[in-house]
Parts: sequence; structure tokens; C-alpha cells
Amino acid sequence: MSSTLVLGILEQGLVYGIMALGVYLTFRVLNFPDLTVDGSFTLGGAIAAAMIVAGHRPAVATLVAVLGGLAAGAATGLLHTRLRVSGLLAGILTMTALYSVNLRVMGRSNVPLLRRETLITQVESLWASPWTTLLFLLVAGLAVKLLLDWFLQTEYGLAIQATGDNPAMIRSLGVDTDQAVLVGLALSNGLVALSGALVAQYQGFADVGMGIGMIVAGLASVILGQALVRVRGVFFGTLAALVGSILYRAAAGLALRMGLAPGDLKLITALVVVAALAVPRTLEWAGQLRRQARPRSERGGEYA
Amino acid sequence: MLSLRGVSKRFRLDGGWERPALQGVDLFLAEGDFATVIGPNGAGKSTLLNVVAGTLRPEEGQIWLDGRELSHWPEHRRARWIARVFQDPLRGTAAHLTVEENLALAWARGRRRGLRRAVGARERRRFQEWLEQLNLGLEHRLKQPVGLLSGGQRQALALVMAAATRPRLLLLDEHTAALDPTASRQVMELTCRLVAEHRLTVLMVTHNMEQALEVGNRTLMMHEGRIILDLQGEARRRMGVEELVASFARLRGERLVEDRLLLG
Ligand SMILES: Nc1ncnc2c1ncn2[C@@H]1O[C@H](COP(=O)(O)OP(=O)(O)OP(=O)(O)O)[C@@H](O)[C@H]1O
Ligand SMILES: [Mg+2]
Repeated sequence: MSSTLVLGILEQGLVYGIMALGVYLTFRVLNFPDLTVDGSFTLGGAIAAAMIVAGHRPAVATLVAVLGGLAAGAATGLLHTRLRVSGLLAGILTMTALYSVNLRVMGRSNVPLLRRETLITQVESLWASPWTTLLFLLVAGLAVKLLLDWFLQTEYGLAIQATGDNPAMIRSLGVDTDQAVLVGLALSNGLVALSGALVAQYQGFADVGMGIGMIVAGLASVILGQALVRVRGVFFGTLAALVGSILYRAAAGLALRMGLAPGDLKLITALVVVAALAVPRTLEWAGQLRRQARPRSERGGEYA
Repeated sequence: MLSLRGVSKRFRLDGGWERPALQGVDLFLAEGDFATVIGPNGAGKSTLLNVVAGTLRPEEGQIWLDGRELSHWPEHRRARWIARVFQDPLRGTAAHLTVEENLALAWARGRRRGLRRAVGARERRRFQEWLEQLNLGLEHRLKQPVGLLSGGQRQALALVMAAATRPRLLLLDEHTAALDPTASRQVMELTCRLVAEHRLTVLMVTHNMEQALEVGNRTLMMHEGRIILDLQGEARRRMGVEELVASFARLRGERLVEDRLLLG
């Protein structure tokens, strides 16, 4: 593989890795299957691109994109906690509504950022080297990871973790679990929108379809990462999401190199997720068979 | 301290209303009271605790604690003063979080949870002290996920999480029923110790008649959503298990007659 290809894979892995961190927060920590992601990712890209084209500073545009993502996540959270809409449906409703919002924000289906000043061009003008973008995205990805690690270890962050683990228990300890879900969803989609905003600036355009399949790509990253980094705890969980995202982009790049059409990628991604979900099931099933074969006396104490 | 006035709760089923689970329950617990609650399956014991904790809302009646009316407060707000331990050891702790993280969650009971680090050196020392009293060796396992502990250990941990944070009221719903005899005895001893140490007011559901008479200072007997007997003082000291069972049969009979009269 050429070094530019490797560089590209690492860059993409990191920039999409921030989205995977958001997916980790909802799917793994909160135990909430949030499908808002496809919409909030595009929203981030749309807001950033539209504001940059309108002449705003890239940093400001990116910040507003994050706020948009927070609002999108909060919308899903409100649908779920106030109106008691199921988690899946709440995400789908917001995602669908966001399609129209994103078109409105951009004014058309594609906003190019050619020859515009973006965060990427800004850092590249600071230090001209082929490594600049990678370094910037590495710092960004790690900063988000460490921030998320820190937050989840705070009193409130721990309450969010417990909400995903045992909501009845944490309510009996005085936590408003509805609020915890709402905050978790908002933060997650804030990260997803940040990723969308950075991707738009990285690739030089925002497109109304840029978020399609994002949730499955995020899931694939989280699952791949966890297959590799098998240590419990938040620190390794977020690390796994980032590593998984790089792995996923590497696999996708490889597939394209082998002559697969870009359009087939989503099918492959879905199959990867299915396989990853099936493997532990199958292992568990095989384990049960083995356990049943063992004499009863050996079994005690397994869950002692 | 705690007072319930005319509390009624019924469950809605597909076809309409189910027989009421609580029927106009009046109850007053004084500061430091330790009341055991007995009664047959379906008598409404768990419902009584759920209504006090706020997990269920009664249709009628009021619930007061320390001069505040809690009837319309959500569960998580009441949790500031009311702690509970469930029958199922899996319900009282978060399996994927570590022992110290679970304790930190409990330690923050009733306080605003902010962006302070949940488990620092000071907290860790405090938790270690709490756990050393249990003599279960848990003080060496602070960083292990709770899912690795045994049912008895998890229940002991849940009990510490409920009691060591000094709630105004402690609710225990058959919290030793799912444990083996040894673990059950240990957890019961621990309960008495923690209750005495922190001078807690307690409502404890049990199916063990001896326990119901030995532990605490009051025994409440429930049947069909009502408290049909409230034993305390001399009468309770003189009461034996057989006599208690006999009085249940007698009181239930009277109740039946009374209901029939009311209906007639
Ligand atoms: N969530 C519910 N939905 C419908 N009915 C319920 C529900 N919870 C309890 N009940 C009914 O309310 C009545 C009282 O139940 P409760 O659980 O309070 O009894 P209990 O005294 O705790 O019994 P046990 O000793 O079996 O735990 C029962 O008739 C029960 O079927
Ligand atoms: Mg019960």
C-alpha cells in the first residue's frame, strides 16, 4: 500500500472516529439504539459548510455545528422521555425530520468548500507537511476521547453509565434517568455533528447524503474495536471505538482497492456488523453445548 | 416520621380494574421504628413499599415524610430520603460498574451530581472502611466489576449502599429471600448492625415469621391490601410464631365476615 493511502486511512479513521465515539456513548454506555446519527452527522456537515460559505470563521462554524448536533440529540431524547416514543422510533423521526432541515440549512443538496478557508486549510498553512492533517485529526480525536473519558468518570457521567446499566437501581439512588438519557443523547449527537463538520471540511464539501449509513459504520467501528481491545472500562472502550474506526476505514479502503464499487460498501458494512453480532451468539451457543456436556458436579460456582 | 393516610392502589388489567392491591392503608412510623411486614403472597406488601418509594403512584391517599407531603414527587426525588434494597440481588447494583463506582453512585444520594471526579482517593478510603465492616473481603475488590460478585456479596453491597448513606427511611423487600441460608443470615446480621449504627427507620418485608417477630420493634400483618394487625410493645414480646399464624387465620376470617357485611 502506498503511504498516501495509509495516511488517508488514518485520517479518515480518526475523523470518523469522533462519530464512533458518539455511537459508543449511546449504544454501549447508555444502551440506547440511537438512529439520529445519520441525520445529525449530515447536520454537522451542513451547518459547518453553510456557515463557512457565508464567510464565518471555520472554528465558529464548527462550534455551531456541534450545538446543532446537541439539539438534534435532545430532540430524540425529548421524544423518548416526554412522549414515551420508543428509542428506535424517536431516532428515526428525528433523522427523517433532519433531512429537510439539512436541505434548508444548505439551500441545495451539495455545498462545495473549494478554495474556502477551513480548519484543515488553516492548520496546513501553519505547518506545511504531508503529516499536518493527520496530526491535527489525531489531536482532535484523542482530545475528544479523553474529554469523554473524563466526563464519564465524573459524578454525573457515572450516573449516565448507571442509567445504561441498571435504570431502576440508579433511580432509587436519586437520579432522574430521563434527564440522564437526554443529556447522553445530546452529547452523543454533538460528537457526531462535530465529526460531520470536520468531515465536510476534510473532504471539501457537504452533501445531503453524507450521513447515509453512518450509524452502521459507527456500530461496525465500535464492534471491530472491541473485538481487538478486549479490556473493560471506559478508557479502553473509547480507545476501541477510535481503533475500530481506523480498522473499518482500512477494511473499506482495501475492499475498494480490490475492485469493489463504492456503492457496495454499505452492504459490506452491514454484513460486517451482522457477522460481528453473530459470532458472540454462536460462541455462546457452542459454550452452552460444551457446558451441558460437562457433568453437573463441575458446574457449581460459575456464578457463585 | 412516615405517615400514610388512606392510601389505595389498584392495577389496571386489560379487561378493567383488578382487585385493589392496597385499600385505604393508614400507617404511622415513628423515628427509629423498625417494622417488619408479613402477609401471604399478593397481600400488597411490595406494593406498599413501591408506593412509599414512588415507583408506583396510588390513586388515593397521602404519603408524608418528616412533615413533607411526597405523594406527587417522582421516585428519584424521594430517593434523597428513602433508600431501598430489592429482593433480587441483580437489581440493587450496576453489574458493569466496579464496586467503588457503585458505592460512589450511592454516596452521591440526595446530592447534586456535578462534574467532580466520582471516585477520588478520599472516597476510596471511605468506601474501604465501609467494606471492611462486612468481613467479606470486598475491600480488596474495589476495582472489580460488581457482576463478578456472588449474590450474597452483591446484596451486602446493595445494603451498604442503601444504609451507609443514612437515609431517613430504609425499605427492604425480602432482601434475603434469594440468598442461600448462610448468606441470608449474614445479610440479616449486617442489616441489624447497620440499622442500629445509623439509627435508621425501617420497613422490612419478610416471609420468615420468626424473623418478623425477632427483628425490629413492630410487626405489621397485611392481607388483601390492608394492614390487619399492628403488633408492638408487650403484645409483640409475648407473641409466638404459632400464635401469630393463628391470629392471621382469625383476623382473615373476621375480615371476610366484615367484607360480606359491607357488601350485603
Ligand atoms: N405491576 C403489576 N401489575 C398488575 N398487578 C400487580 C402488579 N404488581 C402487583 N400486582 C398485584 O397486586 C397485588 C399485590 O401484589 P404485591 O406484589 O404487592 O404482593 P406481595 O404482598 O408483595 O406478595 P409476595 O409475597 O408474593 O411478594 C397482587 O394481586 C398482584 O397480582
Ligand atoms: Mg412482594
